[in-house]
Amino acid sequence: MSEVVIDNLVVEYRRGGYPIRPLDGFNARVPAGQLTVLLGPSGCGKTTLLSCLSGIQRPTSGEITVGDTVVTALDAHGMTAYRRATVGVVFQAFNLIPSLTAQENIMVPLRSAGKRGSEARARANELLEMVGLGERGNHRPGSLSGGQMQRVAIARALALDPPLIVADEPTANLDHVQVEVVLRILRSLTKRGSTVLISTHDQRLLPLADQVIDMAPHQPSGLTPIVKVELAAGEQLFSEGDVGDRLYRVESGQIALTRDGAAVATASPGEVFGEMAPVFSLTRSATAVATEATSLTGYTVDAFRGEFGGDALRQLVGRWG
Amino acid sequence: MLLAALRDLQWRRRRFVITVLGTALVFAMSLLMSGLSNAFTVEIEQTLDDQRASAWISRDNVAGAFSPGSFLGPDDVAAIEAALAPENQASPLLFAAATARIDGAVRNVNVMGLNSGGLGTFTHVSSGVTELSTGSVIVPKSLDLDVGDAFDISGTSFTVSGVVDNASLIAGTPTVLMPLADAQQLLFAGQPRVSMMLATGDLEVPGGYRAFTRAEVEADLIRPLKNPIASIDFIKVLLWMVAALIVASVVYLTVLERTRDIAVFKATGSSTWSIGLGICLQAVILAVLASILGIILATLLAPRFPMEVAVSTRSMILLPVLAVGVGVLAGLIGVRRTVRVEPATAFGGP
Repeated sequence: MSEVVIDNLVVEYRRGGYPIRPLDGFNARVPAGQLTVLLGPSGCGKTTLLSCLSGIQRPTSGEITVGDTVVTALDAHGMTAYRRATVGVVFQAFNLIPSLTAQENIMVPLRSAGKRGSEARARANELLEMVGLGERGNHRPGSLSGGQMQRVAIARALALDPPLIVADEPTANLDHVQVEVVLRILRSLTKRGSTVLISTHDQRLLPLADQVIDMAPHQPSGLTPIVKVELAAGEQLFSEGDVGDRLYRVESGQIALTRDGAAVATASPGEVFGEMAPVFSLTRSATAVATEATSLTGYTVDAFRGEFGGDALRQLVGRWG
Repeated sequence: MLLAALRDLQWRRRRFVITVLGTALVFAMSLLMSGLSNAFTVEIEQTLDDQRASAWISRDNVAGAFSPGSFLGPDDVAAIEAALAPENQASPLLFAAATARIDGAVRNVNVMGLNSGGLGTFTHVSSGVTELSTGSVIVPKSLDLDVGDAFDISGTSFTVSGVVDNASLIAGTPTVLMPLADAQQLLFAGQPRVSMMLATGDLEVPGGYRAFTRAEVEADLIRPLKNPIASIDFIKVLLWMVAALIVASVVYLTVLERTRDIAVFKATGSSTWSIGLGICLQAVILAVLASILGIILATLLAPRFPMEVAVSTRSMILLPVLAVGVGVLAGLIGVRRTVRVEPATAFGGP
């Protein structure tokens, strides 16, 4: 039984010269033997978190502990061993090897762990039976349905009986009938003692969870509705990936908006920008930098609506349409 | 991982079959080049074997017994013969280039004038007789002549009295044997000149003459072919590079296509070296299969080659061994790419 503790996790990388932080001081505790759902829209850092948990990506700072293992302290060799023995990953795109049969796909982690061919084959058959595909072991992924492929992928994740199973959007590419079967299997894994972590933006999965971690960026409560902001030339207002809590109106000066280092737009006096993130609870899709000494007025969504009316906000959102 | 590598070979079999065929053709060309180069040495060895001599005696101021322009007169021959012990066998040989006209076509030939029954004459022929008689010649099969056929050498007509399987020197130029007197008449208007004395046994030669050893004669005969041999060796190196590049490019492209597979292997706990080993194995299998097919192709193509090609067993054994090296080298290019694949690539949608 492996409890997962995530402490002050930060993942930061630079793109186009600007820092992106999909995870910024993230904390969570996933109880052992439970099914936890990470809920949130695209871009909120779910996949990044799963990458860190499964020992595939190293966080910039913070600590992840799985059972007694401090994952973030492992060296490269330790990470490979951790990926093999402690965590099983179920991918959104199934990621079965097309040249291998269902049985051989399940055998891959077993053989990598040094199991003999006959032993690996027997274990693969056992897992295929468990996911209800005992008769399909000799089929290649190309002749399996999406649901069947995802069941094989789950069986592969379980091959070495890891205490932690992480699944990245496991139902994203499945129709509703296939979703049901896959969810039942994932739910049943906790009965075997596994800790299961599923990332999804699909609210239908919530009844399945013992615990839900909401990763959607939320506007901090208690914000001052309207603020004045003064920026010097070159000073940054917000960067790509930040949580967006306000939209801004330029009073004087100019703001340059860039994405991945490329110019997207400029905002001049009287123009409003940065509305999408606070209205739709998204992270910032661009970085805003003052090109000269600039004065801005920052509004919360409610304050903007109160000041300029609902129509103004709707027109703002639909201005590119 | 090895199973995955073998399955991937099966999965992409069309591509790999084409690669094996292409590489095999290059390997076959390399083998034929080796065979061509080897044939230059083989024909020399065969000629010297037929001569049954242990020493080739000429003047001591010439580069070699077969070097052009080196001749002995009757006094020289008498001096050499006088110095020989009774147990030494000795025979004169006149060797020179000439042209033959056969059915209207001009062919370059080597003429060897010998005393019938002496050293240097054939002890067996595939058809006709071994004896050399006035007006008749013994020719190799490569001249496409039969016993009784008549043809011209440098304007004089000769009749074929015997045919041997192989007799050539200097890059496959056919060697024609005739009586010494006929050769002297043909080449020196009857002057009693010879190129060298062939001799057997331990011997001492008088001052002013030199007994060339077999190794020295071989070096003398191969010297005119040094540049062609060096060129062939150069082409062989290029062919090996082409073979390595064919295998490397196909393996590299396959690795590029399998980026997500490799990321999945890494994400599910396979070590980079075991994945790399699988990639190398694929390249080695391709190269070794190509080398085997290359040997078969070379064996089939060699008889159709315009020149004598003597592919040695050593070359055939060496080819698969070198192919393993080519495979490993080509595989390493794929492995380099494998190392850089981030396992995080496995996440995300299809």
